[in-house]
Amino acid sequence: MDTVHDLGGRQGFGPIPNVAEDDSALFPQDWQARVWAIAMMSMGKLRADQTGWTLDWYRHVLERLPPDLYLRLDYFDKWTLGMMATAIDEGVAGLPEFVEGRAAAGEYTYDRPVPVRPVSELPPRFAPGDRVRCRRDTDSMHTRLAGYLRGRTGVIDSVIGPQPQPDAAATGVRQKEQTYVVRFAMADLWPEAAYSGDTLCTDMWDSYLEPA
Amino acid sequence: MSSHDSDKVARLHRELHSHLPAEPALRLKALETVLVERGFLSQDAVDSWLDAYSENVGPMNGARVIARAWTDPDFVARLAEDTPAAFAALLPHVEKGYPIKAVFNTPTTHNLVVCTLCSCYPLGILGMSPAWYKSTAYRARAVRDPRGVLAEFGTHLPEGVDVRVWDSTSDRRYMVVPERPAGTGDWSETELAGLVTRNAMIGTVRDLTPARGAA
Repeated sequence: MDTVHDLGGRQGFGPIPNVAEDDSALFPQDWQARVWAIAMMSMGKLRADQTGWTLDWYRHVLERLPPDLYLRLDYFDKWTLGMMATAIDEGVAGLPEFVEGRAAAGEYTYDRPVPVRPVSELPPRFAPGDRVRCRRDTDSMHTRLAGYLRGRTGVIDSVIGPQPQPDAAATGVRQKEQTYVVRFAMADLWPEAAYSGDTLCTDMWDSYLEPA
Repeated sequence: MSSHDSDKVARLHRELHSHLPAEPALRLKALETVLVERGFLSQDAVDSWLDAYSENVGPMNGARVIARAWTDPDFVARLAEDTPAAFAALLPHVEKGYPIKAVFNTPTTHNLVVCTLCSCYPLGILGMSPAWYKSTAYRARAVRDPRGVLAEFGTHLPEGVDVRVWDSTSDRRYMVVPERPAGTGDWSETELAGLVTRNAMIGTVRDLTPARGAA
């Protein structure tokens, strides 16, 4: 799904903000630290409880913030909304409770645990030096195939090994797939880089690629 | 149980945002209160998680590994070959097997790390990323205008140095290993670690000058 989160190569954003600030503090504000701690702990717990929650599903939850909010809210404020939506979706609490700022009833219970689906792994289709083209289209709700790379041709730089396939993981299916570092010439990506020797490397899943 | 229902969470976001107070700290308070009262998390556990995080993770972990790599040829080979093992060997307190890959600056290559799709960063080892790393401007521009981005950090690459941008999309995270500055031949490993900045490990800064690091 091509939501506003897919920012690579978008133009018109202007200078990088906060470059000159002293940003050595781990968290500039206390509430940001607490959002972070709560999110990390909640994720660990949901994973352990085997509710079908995955990091890719959570990424998709953030991607579904309304585009205007996605672009303008503080990073950690987005996580607050993401964690509230997650808690409601999991059945841990209801929307009115977050709006009221207090729990209505006692302890939560999950509906039922989701059986973990089997993990499959396929051997790598590509080797370092192979030329590959990224798929042009994605039809899933979540993908880690960035828009600016679709249809572009690159070279396999190295084989990383199997990792959970994100498009499937976002729907609760744990299926591992080979991943690669794919190297692109900037000249093949952007018109203004026509005479540049600069390169871009990114991690790609096997199913994002076809031989070129 | 996760619904994996994309439109459902989009509706929840809209409703939450329109009914919650605008102040982010009050929103956090509501989140924390409800999760604790529901018995999903405990207040004490949140506090101790934060204490442990502040103590054990941060740019100092990367700086120590890089300083060792600058002084020990065997270690640098290990860092290049199996970065998690190098971290584990030097820093027993960091998470074992944390998926991280060191990429090395050379006289002809400069590395720059970004995550265009969210803000992936080695949070479990290097700590929280700076605000600019998470900004829409950095995520959008680093892959298309890396030299323009570097210039805004005061980094101007000499002739003959190519940029290699790493767009972090999988579970693996990237850390840039800068070159050891000249004139540090007699420095101790601790002094060297003090030179390595977080921005150099992301790649928005290239040169670590002894004077600059000491300031």
